[in-house]
Amino acid sequence: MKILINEILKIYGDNNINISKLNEHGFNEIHFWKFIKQHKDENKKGIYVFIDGDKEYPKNIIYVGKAGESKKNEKGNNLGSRMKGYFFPKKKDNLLDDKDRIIFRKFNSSKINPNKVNPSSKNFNIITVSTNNIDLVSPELLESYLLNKILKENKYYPLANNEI
Amino acid sequence: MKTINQLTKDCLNKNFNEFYDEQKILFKAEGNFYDASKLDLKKIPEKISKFKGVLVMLDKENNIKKSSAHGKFRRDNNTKIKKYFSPFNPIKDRWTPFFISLEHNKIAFGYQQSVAVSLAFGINFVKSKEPTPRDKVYDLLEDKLTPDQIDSLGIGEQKTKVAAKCGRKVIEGLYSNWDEIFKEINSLEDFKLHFFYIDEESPYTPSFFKQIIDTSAGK
Repeated sequence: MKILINEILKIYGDNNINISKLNEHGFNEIHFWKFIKQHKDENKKGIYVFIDGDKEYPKNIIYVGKAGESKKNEKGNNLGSRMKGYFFPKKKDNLLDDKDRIIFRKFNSSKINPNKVNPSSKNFNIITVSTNNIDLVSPELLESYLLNKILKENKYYPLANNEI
Repeated sequence: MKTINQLTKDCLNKNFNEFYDEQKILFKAEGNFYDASKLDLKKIPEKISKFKGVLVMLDKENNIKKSSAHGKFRRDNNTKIKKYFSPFNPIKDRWTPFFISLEHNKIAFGYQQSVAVSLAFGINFVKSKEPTPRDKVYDLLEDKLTPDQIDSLGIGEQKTKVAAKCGRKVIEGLYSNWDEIFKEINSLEDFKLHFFYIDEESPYTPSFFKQIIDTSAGK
């Protein structure tokens, strides 16, 4: 995954995108919600990647999603608001199950059963790639780029994505 | 064909005309580029009649009016990944949100579904309400659903099933009302239609190439 992140930075340029990671030093629930809130407050558009750190790349990619469309002026649709929708509301017992695994509330496609995707919180991670220039680097381009890299070059279809 | 990284770099750094012309040359060399104006409509190649890839519409000044991607890797109902794209026939299938009629030599943009449904079937779509009159809805959908089955569907699903009946032939038949159905109607001669064929084995998907083209055009 590190190689891919470096590739993304090299291709798009660090002036055009920002990369953030949730879990740099172990999972912490307070930090998780701060991470979501920060992305919401900053109102940034881009993509988010849910990662199961117990697995090797590319099988560790659970889902790649986008927030914000370049052609629409959507104030409320940002990385924070989109990511928040995948988890149960902010109550201590709802984010994790009794084995400290992440509980997903839903995925975009009804074909994907969220109960079957339970990464351990210890190594769960979220990586976001936000765009600084939506007219040049759109969320749609970033999403399509990453999904194509994973599918076409690594022969893997992320667990919770429904179309590429 | 270029790699995903090469293509992305090029679209971000080259000007549109240079980038686009290069793509045309590369696709043409592989027999995967078609200009609609040069097609013999009596002998449509299979790569067009079963089209997978990206269709680009440009005006006379080479500005992109619209691009559309055809072909996605989707999951089936058992969540397995389908290995093949569903091809699209630009001559027989309906094009939305734009519509091309080779018969009338027109290209129309801004399809207004509720207007088309009303003109075609006399059925009204009102926000958050079931389509009416109900007897017309029952008659239209009677080949597949009983009135009870229709009533048990959600409002959105009922509208989707009614709207799906508004196929290519129906829209062609409403040609005299196109100025009501579409927001914009143009002569086909004022546009260039370019087909970039991309199949399942290509190094990238049609959706990705569409994003690349749109990004390059937007610079």
